[in-house]
Amino acid sequence: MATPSTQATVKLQSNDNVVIEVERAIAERSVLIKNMLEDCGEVTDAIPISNVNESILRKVIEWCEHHKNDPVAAENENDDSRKKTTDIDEWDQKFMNVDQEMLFEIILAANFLDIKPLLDTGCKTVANMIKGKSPEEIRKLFNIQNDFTPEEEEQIRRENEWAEDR
Amino acid sequence: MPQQTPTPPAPARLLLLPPELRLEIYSHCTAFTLLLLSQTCTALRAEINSVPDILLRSYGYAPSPPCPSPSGSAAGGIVTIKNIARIQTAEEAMVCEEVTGRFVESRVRYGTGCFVLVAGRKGRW
Repeated sequence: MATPSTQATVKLQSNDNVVIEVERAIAERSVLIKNMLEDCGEVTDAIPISNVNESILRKVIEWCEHHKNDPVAAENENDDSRKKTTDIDEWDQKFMNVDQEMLFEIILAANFLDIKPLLDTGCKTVANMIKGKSPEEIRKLFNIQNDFTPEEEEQIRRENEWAEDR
Repeated sequence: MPQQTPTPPAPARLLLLPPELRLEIYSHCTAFTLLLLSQTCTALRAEINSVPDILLRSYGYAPSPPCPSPSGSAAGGIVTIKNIARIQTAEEAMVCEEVTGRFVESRVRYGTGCFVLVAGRKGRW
């Protein structure tokens, strides 16, 4: 096992080859990076973040910086407790107030970098976008094509009926 | 003059996510939201109905239909309006009234509000 490192900063390299230097504590919000640093000890080269471009990486770092002092959830913590609510704190709501393209990229980056609280915030944001919309409004929101046959449409209409409606 | 090619429609980013990330999104949705999402396209309908665990844990889901469906069951494992016991927000209540033509009543129990479907049909009073 590598000797624990005391280095204060690490360099992250986006997939468009931009190197960003960040505090180690901030980078370690990512479980992927934390494990990598623990395994390798001192890392002087930039760590390639192959699935994330510069603008998304900067955005993720901004989130990590804001949340760097948050308590880290236990690895085996029951998932249900964090999923019961769709409440998002005010700073995170503003942070997630981006176009859909960026929102989905942040979710993908949070998943790749293994930053569960950021992944949760992104997924809750999408869930909140869907809530209170009709199927047609959801289709418009996400550009989903209605590919149901007339028979399937009729089946869905019947599924929205109660027995005594017929 | 060269013909302009029509701009292709923007891809449906939700459908392009890896399935496991859509499941993460579903896990934050209410049962009623999942029902409506399952009525947008065949892919989401198949996917949402293939994850009973998420449906069972979602807010407002009723495993047993509170009233008999026309076919006598909850449409063979497909989530239907009969699986919705509670609705979480006023926005969802409005959509529910629009989709089902049923009244949705606001109830407050133990300090937290929720909305429930009631038997009255809209426009019949």
